[in-house]
Amino acid sequence: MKYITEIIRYFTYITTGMVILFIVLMLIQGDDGIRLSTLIEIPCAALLTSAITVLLYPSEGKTRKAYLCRVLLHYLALCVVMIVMGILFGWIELNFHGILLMVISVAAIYAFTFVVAYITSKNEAEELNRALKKWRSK
Amino acid sequence: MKIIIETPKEGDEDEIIIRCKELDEDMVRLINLLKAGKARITGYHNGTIRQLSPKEIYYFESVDNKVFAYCESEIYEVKEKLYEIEALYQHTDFQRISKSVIVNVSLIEFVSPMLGSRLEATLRNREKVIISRQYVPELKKKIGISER
Repeated sequence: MKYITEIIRYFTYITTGMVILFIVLMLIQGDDGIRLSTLIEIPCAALLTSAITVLLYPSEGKTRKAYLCRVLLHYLALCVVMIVMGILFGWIELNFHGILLMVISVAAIYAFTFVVAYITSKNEAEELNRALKKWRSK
Repeated sequence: MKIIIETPKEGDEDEIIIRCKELDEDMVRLINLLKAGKARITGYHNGTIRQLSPKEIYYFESVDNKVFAYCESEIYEVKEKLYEIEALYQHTDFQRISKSVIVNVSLIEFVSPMLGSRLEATLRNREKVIISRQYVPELKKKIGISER
């Protein structure tokens, strides 16, 4: 149950990030429409990357170095999966430019998810502090 | 609530009698705290052995198959496994917050956010321990936050 909740949480963040990124890219490239299939492909990619995040993202780490290594591994795994999906869905072409675009896109969504998760954790920490204060005074 | 302290008759054992209309959550917590006060754990440090009171232990950590009890400034090795400690102190102020750490919640000064959805607890002795995402719901439950 814990893992399903986590997958749903990341799915929400990643889908939002991907939709924002798609809109930005469409504005830059001057596209004025989105394919119907893309509306199905985005949640599919988001679901897969959410599952990878829950499996690979380090929830704890003995040292800072170990933690950063796991983050890097997680990012690389996401890049590989997204490049494959990007080619299958026709989002990118299999060339240097296409791969670079996907690597940058993954980094942008990664940063977006990081920031949203931090804001959520901040609210959670405040809630815990209020409850701790109340609990201690009992 | 009225608190009465009486001196027992000579030869009588010390005893605590609780008279209450209802055994509510606060009362159960109080009983568990009294019980835990007796559940001491043996700590080993530089060839010396000490009986550690749960109240003085800030957290337990498992490192390389060894379990350590961290007090205000001293660290003691304990022979119990982390899951045994978790079971021993399950109704007390101790709570598992990651795969390798059980913390004394009453000694948490405050909680702060960290990058990557994690939380960090700063203890009263200024030490910091990481609260893993998976253990946040149990911690919330412990301190009376009901999950929506």
